[in-house]
Amino acid sequence: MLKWNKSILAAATATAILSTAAFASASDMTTYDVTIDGAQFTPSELKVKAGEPFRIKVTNKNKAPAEFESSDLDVEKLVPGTFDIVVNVRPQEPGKYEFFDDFRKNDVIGYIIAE
Amino acid sequence: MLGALIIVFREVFEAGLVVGILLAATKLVSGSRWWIAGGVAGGVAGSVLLAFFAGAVSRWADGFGQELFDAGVLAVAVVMLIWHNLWMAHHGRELAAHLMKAGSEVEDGSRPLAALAIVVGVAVLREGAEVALFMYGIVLAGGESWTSLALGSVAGLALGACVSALTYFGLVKIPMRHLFSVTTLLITFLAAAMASQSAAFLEKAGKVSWLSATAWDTSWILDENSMLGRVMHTMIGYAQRPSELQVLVYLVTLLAVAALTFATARHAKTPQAAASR
Repeated sequence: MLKWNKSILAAATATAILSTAAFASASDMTTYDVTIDGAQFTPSELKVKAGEPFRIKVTNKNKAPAEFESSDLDVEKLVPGTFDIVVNVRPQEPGKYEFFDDFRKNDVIGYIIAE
Repeated sequence: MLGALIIVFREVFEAGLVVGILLAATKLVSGSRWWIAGGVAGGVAGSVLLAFFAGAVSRWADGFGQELFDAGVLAVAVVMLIWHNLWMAHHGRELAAHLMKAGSEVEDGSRPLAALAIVVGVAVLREGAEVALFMYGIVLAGGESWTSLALGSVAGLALGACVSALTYFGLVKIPMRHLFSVTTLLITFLAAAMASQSAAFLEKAGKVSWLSATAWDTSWILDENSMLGRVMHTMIGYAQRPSELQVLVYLVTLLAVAALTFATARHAKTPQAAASR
């Protein structure tokens, strides 16, 4: 009984490890800065190079936490109060993409323009 | 108030679905409700801790600690789901026989229950930290809107519990002899969904760059942030713009779990296995 349970756990672990097999990689990407201060992003429009992965560094100057999010860019990350975080963004086609503070979704909005 | 309600509800929605499915999967196993409740309580406690240390966690791994943490806890949840499925495949027959005969609760179920409690804890923890930080922000802001926002948040939490209840009562309507097959299938998809989300977090952390191209974009058919999109995201792992790696991990997990479950169920049918118990 105990042995069986162990082999089940081993099989489960092996499956999970196999299925999330990872390869580490370092990256040298352009980082763009955005600041949340009060109820707005500065800059509220960010120009990035299309077709290349990039990073956004988000600095939250407020005491209240925020959540930097963009459904268009598939990004979602907590930004504690008076803190900064970095997100990786996949290469994007030329176009305009919205990002926002998910805790104040309709009020705090910015855009990324990929060219 | 409505804004707070929507934000909190959206965060607890996924956890609510998972709790409902797992409650149904362990129906008639004695003590299962306590284990699941324990998982929820653990997840809530963990959320508050995680919210408190959000900054520190974020600083790990060159600023990608949040992503790695998410990838890690999801991987643990996947292992636990697979373990539960295999346990059920092995013991399903006895369980069904016992239920036919006695119609009462089954005693011997604590092992997969602990695993499921962990899965529930992970589901709650992942979104709970966001809720905790959001509510902390409300408290911090103070002012007139305070009570209204707090009320909205509590209503959002209550609605999340309703999702669990609806999922549970919907599932237990299924006749008993089919219920375990259905929940095993649901858990198989849940495991594949969580595995592919775990892979996505590794990609976001920049730890994996292999097969990172976007496999497809179906946001025009089903928006991942819509109600239906969220249900599909949680239950079968729908992603509107998955990477190729996500798709691969999803398929590998799905097929591996299905094959293992099937093989285990066959193994369990042999007389030796029944006798050795």
